[in-house]
Amino acid sequence: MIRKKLKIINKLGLHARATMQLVNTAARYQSEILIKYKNREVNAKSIMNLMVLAASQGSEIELIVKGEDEEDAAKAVIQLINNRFGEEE
Amino acid sequence: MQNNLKTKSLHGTLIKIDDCGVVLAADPGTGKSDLALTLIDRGHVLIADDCIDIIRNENKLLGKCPATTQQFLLIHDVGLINIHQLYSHEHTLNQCEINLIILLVSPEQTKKNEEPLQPLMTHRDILGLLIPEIHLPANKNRPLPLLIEILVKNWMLKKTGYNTVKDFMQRKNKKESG
Repeated sequence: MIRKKLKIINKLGLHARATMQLVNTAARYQSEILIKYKNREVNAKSIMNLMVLAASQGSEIELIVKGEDEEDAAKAVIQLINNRFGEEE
Repeated sequence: MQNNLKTKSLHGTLIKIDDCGVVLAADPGTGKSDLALTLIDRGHVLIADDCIDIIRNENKLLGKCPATTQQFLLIHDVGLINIHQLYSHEHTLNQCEINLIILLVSPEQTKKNEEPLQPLMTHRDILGLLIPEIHLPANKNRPLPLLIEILVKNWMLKKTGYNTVKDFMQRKNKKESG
């Protein structure tokens, strides 16, 4: 299992478009990928789950990945978030 | 003061079918939301789509919908829909007790059910409570909403004291001995 604390740095936070990108990235991997924010731990492969989190810019989240391809999966998600989901700010 | 309330969040869709709080659980992409929509169309009640907040209160498990997603259902290729607007207030509820879990499994991955007269039944531990869980292979060629409805009705019937298999066996034995 891989656990990593991350910060949401893009201006719009985990809004609809970013959520879609996260889901598309997570779906490529077999591992279970969870995002923990405040009291909730949700499945990163589900759009509705991620929308419930309402993680805005500056939010501290925890990435929890478990499975055979966890290393690759974690790397991809971390890269996506740290690259601001490809957004300018 | 002893605090009996433990909480967690569960990935699944919570629907009330007749008087039974049912969690439809499945991997993302299996079609849970489509099934939920069909069940609502058949008259049942949506509590929460995809993310259920679970609270244990002594021996009961309560499922609640997070405020953000109340009344909403996300349907692939259709988009976000509001059940209040498209159906009515009677088709949604913000919370209900969880009585049963139906896990939709891929037909290839299913453990073979050795017992053809019964569904594949097990239990899941949620916050220390054992909730009955039925495994249903999600074969797209079958009428899944109807199968889910009948699974629930049959399970509820059993709780009232009527055992379908026992009844059948008794009649069969009577016929064989008479």
